[in-house]
This record gives sequence, C-alpha cells and structure tokens, in this order.
Amino acid sequence: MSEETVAQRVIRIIATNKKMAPEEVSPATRFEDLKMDSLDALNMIFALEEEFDIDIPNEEAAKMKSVDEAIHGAEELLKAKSSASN
Amino acid sequence: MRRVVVTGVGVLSSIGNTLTQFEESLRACRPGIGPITQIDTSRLRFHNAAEVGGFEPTGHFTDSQLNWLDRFAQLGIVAARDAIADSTLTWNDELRTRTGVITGSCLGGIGTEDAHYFGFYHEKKSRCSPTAVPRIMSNAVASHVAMEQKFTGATFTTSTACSSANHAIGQALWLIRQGTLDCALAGGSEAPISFGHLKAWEAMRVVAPDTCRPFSKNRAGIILGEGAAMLVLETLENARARGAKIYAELAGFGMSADAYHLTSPLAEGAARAMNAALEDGHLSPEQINYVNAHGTGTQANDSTETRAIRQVFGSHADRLAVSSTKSMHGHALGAAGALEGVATLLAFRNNFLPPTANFLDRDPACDLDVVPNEARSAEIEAALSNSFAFGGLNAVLAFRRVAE
Repeated sequence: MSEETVAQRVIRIIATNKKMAPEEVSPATRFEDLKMDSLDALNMIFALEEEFDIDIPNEEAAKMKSVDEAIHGAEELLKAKSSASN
Repeated sequence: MRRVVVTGVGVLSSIGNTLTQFEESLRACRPGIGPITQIDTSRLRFHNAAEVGGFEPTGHFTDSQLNWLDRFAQLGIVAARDAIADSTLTWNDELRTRTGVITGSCLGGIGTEDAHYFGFYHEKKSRCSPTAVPRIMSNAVASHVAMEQKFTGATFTTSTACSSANHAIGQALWLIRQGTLDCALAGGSEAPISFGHLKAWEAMRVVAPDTCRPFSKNRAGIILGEGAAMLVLETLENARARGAKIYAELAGFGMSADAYHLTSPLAEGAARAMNAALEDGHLSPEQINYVNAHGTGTQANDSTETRAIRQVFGSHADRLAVSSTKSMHGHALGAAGALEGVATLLAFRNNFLPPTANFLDRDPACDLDVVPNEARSAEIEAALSNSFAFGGLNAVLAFRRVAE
C-alpha cells in the first residue's frame, strides 16, 4: 500500500471528525458546508496538530476555512518543521 | 420584603490587594496585565496574565495553615477577612448562627492538583500529601471562612465556570431576603495559573497574545486573571439600625441557561438573565445607568453581549455606560463576578464609571458607550453586573443606590 499524502491524511482527519466517509470530503469542501461550528473547528485543528505533530498558530488556524486551506496550511507547517530539524 | 445591602468589601487582584489600590487602578485606567511569573511559559503560546502581585501568604497564615491552603483559598480567605473588617459588624453568637458563606470557584485548587499529577506522572512519586484533597476542594474558601469566623448558617459553593461568583452572590441575596440568613459573606476566588490548566486554555484559542481589549474592533480574546473578592451582605434594616456605611443595595438577581452551545454565547439567553435581574429587583430598564459587562474581549462575547443589551434596553442602551473591567483585572473565571461587583459598588459609593482599558478602534458590532480608556465622574442610581459562563449559564446582579 502506498503511503498516504498530506492531502489524504487531512481529508481522513476531517472525515473522521465529522463521522463521514473520506469520499464525501474533497479539497474544495468548505467547513461551513460540513456544518462545522467553532468547537468542531477547534477539534479538527487539534486533530491535525496531533496527526502531523505540528503546532498550528492561531493566525494559521484562523485562515483554515476549507479542506484545501487546511491541506495547504499543514503542508507549509510540515515544510517549516522539516527545515527546522535539518 | 427584606432588602439586602452590601456593607463590607474585600478584594485582591492584579490591580490591587486592597480596596483603595483597586479603586485607584480603576480610576487611573491602569491594567494589571503582564508576563506570567508563577510558571515557565516557554511551552505556552501565550505569556501574559493578570496575576495577583505582592501577596505574601506568610503574612496572613501560619506555616501549618498554609499546608492546607491552595492559593485560591488563601486569596479567598484574606478577601473575606478584609470584607468583614470593612463592614465593622459586631458579631455575637446569634448573628454567627444566622450568617452563611457562599463562594464561587470555577477551578478550586487546580494548582495543587496540577502539582500532584506532575509528581505522580512525571516524577514517578508513589504518594502525595494528605492535605491534597482538602486543598483541592472547591468549597475550601467557604469552609475555612466559616471555621475561622464561627459562621454556622447556610454555607456552600457554586461552580458555574465564569458565572460562579454571581451565582454565589445571587444565592446569598435570596437566602437573606427569604429569611434563611441575616448576613452572608459572598463572592468568589480563583488561582488559575498552573501549566496544565493554561495548556487547556491554549487549546481553546481564546487567550489574547498581548492584552484584553473588550469591545475594540481588533480584540483578540481574554486575558486570564487571578483574584478574590468578597462582599458582606445584610438586611437594609440592620445596616441602618447600626449606622453602617452602605455601598449599595443588592436589589436583584437573575439567571438563565442558553441551552444552545457549550462555548458560543446566545444573546437571547443573556438578555433573559438581565431581564430577570431587573424584574427581581423591581427595576425598569430606564433606571439603569451603568452595566459592568461580562466583556471578555473575545469576538463572540462582546458583539453578542452588545446585542443582548440592546434587546433589554432598547433605545435606552444609547444612554447607558457599559464597561468591562476585565480589561484591567483580567478574566478571573469563578471570581470574575465578585471583582466586577466590587468595581460596580465602588462606582456607586465614590461616583465614577470604571473604564474599559486598552480600547483601540470602535467595532460597529459593539456600538455602546464603553467608557473607553478613561474613568468618568457619574452618579449612578442603578446598575447591572453581567456574568455569562461557558456552557451557557448566565447570572446577572442588579444594584441600586440606597440612602444610609
């Protein structure tokens, strides 16, 4: 089995959080379409931090309003993390 | 109906450990917000809080007493002693049996709890001090004050997050009004600065990185505070008979549940509690001059509270002064309503409006007179003090000027 991409992992986290099938979540999905309230969003950000072992600052968290933005945010923070550890 | 007045006040906070210092800070619009000193914050995303400074426990308690007292209890007991002294009440056995202690605390002895868990989980300790349980219990202040002062009337603790103190003070009012008690010590205390607890707040993402700016357009959240405040409540009749100084009448209390959301506030719920306090105090909205707002400095609270105030007061909202003293003493959670009650009582007694500090740009969603950045002279006839808790539990106190 090939390794999950960052995008697939983000989608899996969001789908798990909202108790949906991953196929129902696409990069274009906006969180408001998932009926995510403020606490759901907090929980999802926390789950992403745990999944990738990253710290998502409040400013970055505030920018994540869609699956695509969450994937992009996670990728950027992972890049920053790997360059910090090199 | 028995009327209830406040005749004694004690307060410890980041803006003063005496009533005089507290009032000076309110008048000077001087916040007590700065870098956290009690713990290392290098693993936290925020670094500021409103800590009680200059409090020396050994100046108030013996070593053997301190063994049994978490910081939240130390602050609460000293505030109660100060309130009792301020009231100049003369105590006898009969009055002591008719006096209760009703305190609010959200967290109890969380600093003690955190330290013990650190010992067990990190340092692999196999035992802890037998003082742990009584230090941690949320009713520690109520119990210690009752024991110290020999008060044997109805005594208990309310824990409703950020509304704890207002629920406690409101219960005390009703117990005196209905004749269960003749006198009560009521208020709240909190000491939330422990690493484990601050990490929990960090995860909520509601703590401001710099300072608390209630009602400002670019407000970024709360600043946690610690502190304690206690009020001496007695009947108007008794206060007048003994010629006591009276801060104000505690005229009414109202509470409600949003039954809506764990953390998002609901204007209708807050409005119901304000209306209930007005009704309980036989006050019309037009009699109110000042509202000490819950005013946490979060985007959600301040705009929702503004809508709630407009629902309750209609066009009179434009003639109201509304300020958040959390901008100075921080959000002291279960002590918040007590600190804000003291600010409101001082406003009555010494004829000024406490300001909202750290105010920058106006927010159209918070279009009230928030007394920005400068205290103002004013004679208040009646005021509300709002507390709205996570979990949607609202508690509002109504105060009214009364002749001594």
